[in-house]
Amino acid sequence: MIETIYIEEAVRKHPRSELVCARFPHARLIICERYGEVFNRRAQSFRLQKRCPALILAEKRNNFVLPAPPGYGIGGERNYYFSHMLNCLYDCRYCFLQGMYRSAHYVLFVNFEDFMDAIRGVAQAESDKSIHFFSGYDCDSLALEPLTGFAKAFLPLFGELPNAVMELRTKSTQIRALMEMEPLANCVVAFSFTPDEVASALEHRAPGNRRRLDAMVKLQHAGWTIGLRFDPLIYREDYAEQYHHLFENLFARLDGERVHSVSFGGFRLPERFFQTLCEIYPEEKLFAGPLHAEGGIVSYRRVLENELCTFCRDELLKYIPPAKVFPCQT
Amino acid sequence: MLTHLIVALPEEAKPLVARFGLKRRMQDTAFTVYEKNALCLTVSGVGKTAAAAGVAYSHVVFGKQPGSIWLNVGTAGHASCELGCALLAHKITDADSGRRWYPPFTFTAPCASADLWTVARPEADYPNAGLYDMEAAGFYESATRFTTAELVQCIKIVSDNRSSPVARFGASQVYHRIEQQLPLIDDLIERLQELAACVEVPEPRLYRRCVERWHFSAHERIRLKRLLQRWDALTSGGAWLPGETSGCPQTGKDVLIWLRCQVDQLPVRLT
Ligand code: SF4
Repeated sequence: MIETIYIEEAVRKHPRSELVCARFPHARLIICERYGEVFNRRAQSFRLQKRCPALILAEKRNNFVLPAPPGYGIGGERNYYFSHMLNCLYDCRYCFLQGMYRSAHYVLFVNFEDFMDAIRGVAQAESDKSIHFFSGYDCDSLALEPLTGFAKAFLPLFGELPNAVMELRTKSTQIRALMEMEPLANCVVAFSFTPDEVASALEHRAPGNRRRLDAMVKLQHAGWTIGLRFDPLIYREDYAEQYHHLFENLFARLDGERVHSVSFGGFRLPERFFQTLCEIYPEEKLFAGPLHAEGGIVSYRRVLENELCTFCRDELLKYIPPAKVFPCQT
Repeated sequence: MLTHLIVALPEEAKPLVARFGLKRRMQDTAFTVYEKNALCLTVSGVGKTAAAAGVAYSHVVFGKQPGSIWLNVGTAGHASCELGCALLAHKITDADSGRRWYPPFTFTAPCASADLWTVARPEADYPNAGLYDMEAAGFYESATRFTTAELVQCIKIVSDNRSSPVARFGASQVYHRIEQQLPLIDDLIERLQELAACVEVPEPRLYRRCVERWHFSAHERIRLKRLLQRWDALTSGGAWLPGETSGCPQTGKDVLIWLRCQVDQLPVRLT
């Protein structure tokens, strides 16, 4: 439930702003000049704001599409990301957004059409290359679909761009908009998972694994291309057993042959973000574990990370050919 | 955690002092200050500069406690709002400089909210739809230097409007307006205290014992704190001190090395 909506003066009358506001007739509406004066302020508590985040309706003015970090990809020749939204409905304790942003408010950029123009431009500039666009970098792609209409608005564009692939990355079960559309061959609906016990300890407010899997199965049956993401891999003493069960459960219900891609990567965060997370949640067991900093990145010690990643890769290869498995190295 | 109340006028202070049983601190001469337990009240005087100075004074006098609550209580004008109506400020604009602040509401507010303009002189025309006061901008800018913005709020009771203009109200009305809204102010303070409790970081259980027993530099104390936080998280607060188990470290540095080894070996159970 949104109790407060900040709106940039410039998009006050934007049809998408009006639609969103109409869904929350009792919310207090506050006009601002630019979203940054609310969102980027110093002295904010991410932890407190997460209890009751406000929604900020804003206009994105530049940098609509950005190159994805090296090592981030699922087989495309070029990788880009774009963020129609900042922050997420869910509250995963390992999420880097908590370290990156000062505020937990949701920012929704309502000028979708400008993002679409930029995507079209990038895809058409290199029409001989396969270009991947990742949408779930700064948010969960589908969690707020009923509110934002993001997938519904963007997917038709990809129908016109045969060399482009869009990844929707999610832990959500908000698949109604997709189920009402014709499946698009160049859209990968990628679901993220950690083992059940890790998910219930760390992925607060996100749908449980069973419900995510139900949603995936429905999409796959309906003809959508799906992907699996195990990023971050989380270490526990019994990780082998936990991940073995997780993969077994997933592939018992999914058609592995028709899975587009599987990616994985050990838990890691830029050191600065990690320090912020420890300040926000000093009692969190995940951050108290055997992590170390190297080259500005906090991750598991190399031996442990290799052990974890190798084990998971080998397990995944029981179900999926190597060409579809992508280690994440960002 | 401490709750600081900042008011401009003695008449605004009186009902609050009576409600919370606050006692005047006679040692303070720069400002009139009251306190009782974890609640304090400073009468800053009129204007944003005075409000900012009152905040800074209270912060220092009460030991610069991080994570405190700051509440500006006062009267304000509004073009159309009924006299006596209480409103939280959701956007504060310094009318002189144009600077703006947006106090975040991470609790269910006990009353409605409005834009607020802080002006240098009493405003009789009420050109914008919102509250008019003379302190909030100075109060807010200053208080957010000392705590997180969610714990800094302004509540204003409407004392004048177009049909009952600013020139016509006196000290007794100010007292009366605040007094009428005391239950709501009380409720607001409780909600803010609940919020503050969520971000209060308890000192790691063994921290005091360690710093009493060994010497740590300021930087080492930070490292010690984090190691002990990790220890508490992974052992659910298991009791331990080096030397109580095996081999007693001699210096603070030794303790940190020893502790790091111990913590790194602890099993991680997320649940
Ligand atoms: S679902 Fe993704 S974006 Fe949302 S909180 Fe979890 S990790 Fe962050």
